[in-house]
Amino acid sequence: MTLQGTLAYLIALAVIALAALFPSADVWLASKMGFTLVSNWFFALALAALSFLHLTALVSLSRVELRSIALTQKLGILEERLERALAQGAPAPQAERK
Amino acid sequence: MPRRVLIVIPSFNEQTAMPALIAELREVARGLPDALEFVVIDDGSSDATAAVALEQGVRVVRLCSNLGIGGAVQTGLRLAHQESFDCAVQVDGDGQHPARDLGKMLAHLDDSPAPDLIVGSRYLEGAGFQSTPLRRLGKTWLSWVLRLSVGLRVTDPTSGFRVFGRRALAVFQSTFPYDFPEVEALSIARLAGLRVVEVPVEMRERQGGQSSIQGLLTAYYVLKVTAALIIDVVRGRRLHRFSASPAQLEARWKTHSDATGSLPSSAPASPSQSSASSRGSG
Repeated sequence: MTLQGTLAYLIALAVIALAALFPSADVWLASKMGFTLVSNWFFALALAALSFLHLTALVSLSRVELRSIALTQKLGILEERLERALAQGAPAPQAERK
Repeated sequence: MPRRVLIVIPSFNEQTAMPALIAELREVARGLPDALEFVVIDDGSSDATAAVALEQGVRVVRLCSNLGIGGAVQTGLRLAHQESFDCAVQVDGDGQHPARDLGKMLAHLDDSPAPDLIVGSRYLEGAGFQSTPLRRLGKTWLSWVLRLSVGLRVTDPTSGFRVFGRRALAVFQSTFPYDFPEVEALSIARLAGLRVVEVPVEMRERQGGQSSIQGLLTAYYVLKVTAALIIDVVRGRRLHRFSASPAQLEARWKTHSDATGSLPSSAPASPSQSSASSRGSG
């Protein structure tokens, strides 16, 4: 998990803890948002949070996939160049040993 | 000085069609004034595609995992861009694209104004293999969406027989769709201010292997590409950073170090400077 993700979860936990400590604030907020039942307000909030997390995860996954494609392409091109250079008599690269 | 042309052959399990295709391309290349090089992009094939291509004496880039047609084609375009080829030609590894039309397509690069992307169309003259009715229906729909979304009129948006000029190489080595890329690539080209033309070609039935778009996947293909075209229009403004006059792109091309494998950063040019896409000769 990234640092941003960890922070988001910590903040979410802190908000839940505050909501548990001050239930009157939850009732007031739920009624202001048009919810008759406070529990429904929590369900809606949880669904929104999960949807947001899912979306951000998808965006991250998409970025990683693009990087993976770029790396695969670069690897293929470099491998082809190396093979051609070796076939033309270039010295084989030595693995670095520690 | 002859034009340096890289023939990019994206292939996935095409060992059957490969020898005949390369032999045919070589035969045609002998009669052309251009200097042609061939590269097979083996897109993680499980058969002996790479070995068969190597036996034919052509360059082979082996991708360690299957990237799909878009990833494979872009690999070839990146290679052409990095090695300063004048243009690249995409020829599918299934043998559908007739090599004899290669010269006709390359000749259009000398037109004035020079096109950036030349698409071989099987429908302009209606000769040769015309695909199945279901696919033609999908093609008609996608042509219509492309016309509505970016104002580009093409008769064969799904054709994979294409010539990419230098400006197109500069754009596509950086931005290229990965899933079902043919139609979306036209949209990107239009939004980037590239000049797109169509040239009539006579295609054949595939000479081996299997199409990746069959049955229900055809409907998914049409839906996915339609959604991609709409998204392209929404995010089209970003693509204007590629819009530059041919002279500007040419200058960038000459000065840019290929080591990075990406476009040089520079101030975006006015969209009005870019050449307009148009339906080509035929």
